[in-house]
Amino acid sequence: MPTRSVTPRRWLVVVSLSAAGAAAALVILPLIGSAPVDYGRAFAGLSPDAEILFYARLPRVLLGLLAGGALAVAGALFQALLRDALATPYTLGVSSGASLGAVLSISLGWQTAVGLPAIWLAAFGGAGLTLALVLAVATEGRRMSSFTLLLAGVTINSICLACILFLQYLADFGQSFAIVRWLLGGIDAVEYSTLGWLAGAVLPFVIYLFWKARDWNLMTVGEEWAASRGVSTSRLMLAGYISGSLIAGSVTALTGPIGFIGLIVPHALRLRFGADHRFLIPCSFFVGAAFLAACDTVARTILAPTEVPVGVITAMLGGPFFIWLLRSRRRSLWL
Amino acid sequence: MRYNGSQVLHGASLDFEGEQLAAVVGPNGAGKSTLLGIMAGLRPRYTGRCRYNGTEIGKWPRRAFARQVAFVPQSVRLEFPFTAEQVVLMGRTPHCDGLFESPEDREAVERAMAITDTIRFRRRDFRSLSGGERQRVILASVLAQSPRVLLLDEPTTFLDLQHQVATYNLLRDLARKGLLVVAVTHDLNLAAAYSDRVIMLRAGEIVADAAPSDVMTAEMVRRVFGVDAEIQRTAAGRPWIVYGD
Repeated sequence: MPTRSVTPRRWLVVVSLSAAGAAAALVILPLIGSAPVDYGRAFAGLSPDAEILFYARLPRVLLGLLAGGALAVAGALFQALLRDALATPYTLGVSSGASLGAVLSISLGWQTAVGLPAIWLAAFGGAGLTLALVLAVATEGRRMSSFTLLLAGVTINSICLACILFLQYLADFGQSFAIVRWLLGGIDAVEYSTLGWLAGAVLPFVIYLFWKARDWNLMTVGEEWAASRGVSTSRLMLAGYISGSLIAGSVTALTGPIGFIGLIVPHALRLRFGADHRFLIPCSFFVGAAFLAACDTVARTILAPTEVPVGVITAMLGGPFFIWLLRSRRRSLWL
Repeated sequence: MRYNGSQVLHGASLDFEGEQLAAVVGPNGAGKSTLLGIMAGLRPRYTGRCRYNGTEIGKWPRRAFARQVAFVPQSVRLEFPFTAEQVVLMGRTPHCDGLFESPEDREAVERAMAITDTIRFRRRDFRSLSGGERQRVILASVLAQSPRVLLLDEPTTFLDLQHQVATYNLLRDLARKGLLVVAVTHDLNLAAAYSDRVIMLRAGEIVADAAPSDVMTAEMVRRVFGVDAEIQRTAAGRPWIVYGD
């Protein structure tokens, strides 16, 4: 059994390896696709390599990296806070809230607002409102119950899904197609300024979550355990739920719901490196990033020119791998 | 003292001074665990007064308080694969600021694991340990916290006879070395055999608070627990309670 203690040396090796994986994905994945691309030609500004690389593939790979990393970190966090191995970034209903916002904007025909696609703003607004509602239900005075939070999340999830079905029932054919397409989730090439906004919304929270890694370790054991070791649990839980949900909401606004990353990546890493969040948060970010970007590359190439929804690929590639991991570790009682 | 609208202790006060092992006993619902929770700073919404070193518990900064007072819950359930050593290392949290543990932290963990006899399974998944082994790892974790006060909620519930005795021997030694140890327990004989002071609670009232031989009388056991018992004496002169047919 590998040693699981967190020494500076071991931390540096493990996190550097994960980061190298994400960096390799960033360099290699834009090269893959029906049209060949040469980095030398692209950086020299020669057509069509420059256009394919800088306007089609690179932004898409970057969005995949950011979204995958963010979802994996949010998954690891929610599993710790809810002490539930099955928790995902969407457990509190953030994704269905975002979906409801997006579906509403499609149904009402909103195109743009303040210079941004209305669907993004509506989705982000939906995620934020859902989070506020779930937190309001579960908070009593200064205390928050994880159990009530979980139930409130599941309930609001169901209500949002019912509203989505209702709106879809009322929608015309074109709208209905757009709704289904959004609900399937997917990574599209976006402008660099949008990527900048997303990075600005996600990375500070990821850094904050890493900075609090030891506290998440304590929270996975229990609130009293953490409180008796000097953690202000109410404040920490609120900060954790808001950070995780904003991360998940920002990503979902741009990509739609993409399942599986937030569940499988943290678990796979726990099986290999243990449950310490000093490993788990940074490694989830880098491995989740590489995994989603790779899945998206498969999604856009496997049936080219037709694209497969990336959620299908994450489940099809990740599921069997995860089951293999579980089987190979079962004897040592890791799960 | 009130907590959550219900009276926990009424018309009574307790004062704990260092270097003693105090046992809190009483029937279910007497308020033992709530009292311990308030003393551990885990029930912030109490009314009444509960002070540590002259400062109200609610006013203590959490980390500073955690360096003084440690709490051992009845049981801990883990969902994720932490090793026994990692669980013990968690006890150092109030002492370290950086991302990694210092050599002093590692030494404290080593010592705590040695005296709780947990070094053998330091690399094992906490969830694969037996109830008794887990309890000892938790005890090691709070010892690694290097507190001045140790509060324990039924520390021997999951332990076999050997480890029950070992745990209470350890608690008594810790008290001798300068710690204040307060343990809630259902085991009257362990309380009688090891503690310097027994506090008997019934429905939020302190019915007795004295040395074990003064508290453990047949009349008191009948009054508080509703059980007929016979009190004998051990070779060390401690009371030994015999009950049942």
